Amino acid sequence: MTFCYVNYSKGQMKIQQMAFVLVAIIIFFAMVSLFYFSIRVADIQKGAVSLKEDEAKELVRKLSSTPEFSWTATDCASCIDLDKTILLKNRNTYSGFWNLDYLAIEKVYPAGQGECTRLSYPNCNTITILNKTSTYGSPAWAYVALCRHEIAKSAYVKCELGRIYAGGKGIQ
Amino acid sequence: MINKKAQEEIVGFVLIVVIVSIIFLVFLGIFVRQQSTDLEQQSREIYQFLESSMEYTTTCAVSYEPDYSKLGELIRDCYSGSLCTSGEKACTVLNTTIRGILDSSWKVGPERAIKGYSFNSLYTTNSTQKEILVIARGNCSFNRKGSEYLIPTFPGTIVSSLDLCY
Repeated sequence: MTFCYVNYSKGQMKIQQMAFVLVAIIIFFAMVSLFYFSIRVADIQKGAVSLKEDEAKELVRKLSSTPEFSWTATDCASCIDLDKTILLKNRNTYSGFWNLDYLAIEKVYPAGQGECTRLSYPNCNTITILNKTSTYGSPAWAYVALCRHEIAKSAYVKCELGRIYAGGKGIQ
Repeated sequence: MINKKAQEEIVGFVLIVVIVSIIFLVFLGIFVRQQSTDLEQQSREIYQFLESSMEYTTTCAVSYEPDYSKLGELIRDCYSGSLCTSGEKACTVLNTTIRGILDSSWKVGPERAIKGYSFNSLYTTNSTQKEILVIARGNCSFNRKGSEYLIPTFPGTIVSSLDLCY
């Protein structure tokens, strides 16, 4: 029986040692980089979602300045003419106008109760202008001022706080 | 000779520890900087809320009925110490109205996404700053999102700000 002895020189051992250390350092840096980039990517994704939400809100808000909704009595960018809006309800000619599946206006303060009809208006809460399907997802919304002509002792303009909701392809 | 080899090993080890510490500090710095910018975010949603709220018609008419003041005008009336035709102070109506609007719009609580809010109205000029109204609710020591709405009031400006705490 013969035994083979391999004699490694001191230099070879040193090189091997250095190679191991280098590999370990590279693995360490790779892991740290992975950790860092996973955090960065998560942040970027979060930012993208937030930007998309903001954009959707702006688009919804823009709807309030279209002639069909806008309050023209004074210069108010965030005001919706509620008297015009109630007239848009159940108008079939407008069903494909906005490329939306859902469009509604809700009073926030002071809150009313129930869906608005021409009989219950303005003592109601929601005006649903479009509701084509139940699969439009979560609608985007924005705060608006809901203005109308109030007739008490004499006529005056009354604005309340509300939200405009929109869902569908036109908003995505 | 043995001592020198040990010294070399120690120097190598210290070098690696120093490099790793520096990298760790750099990452920590980046992470902390990102968190501090998140702490106070400007929110378009809150700006839209403030802008729309300022158009709200209140129950206070300063000159005659039915010339009711909008919320933005009522903040000005409160600052100038006006009285409503009903005899109430403009500031009292302002306080009640803003509380009502805030409570209807933002549901606050320890188990909810929004933990608290703080609303401030300040009259500012280049040299002075005077508090008009401060309303706070819930716990506001968490991350904040907020926005400001400016009402020009010669010679200064009324700055209304709302911060939501998450």
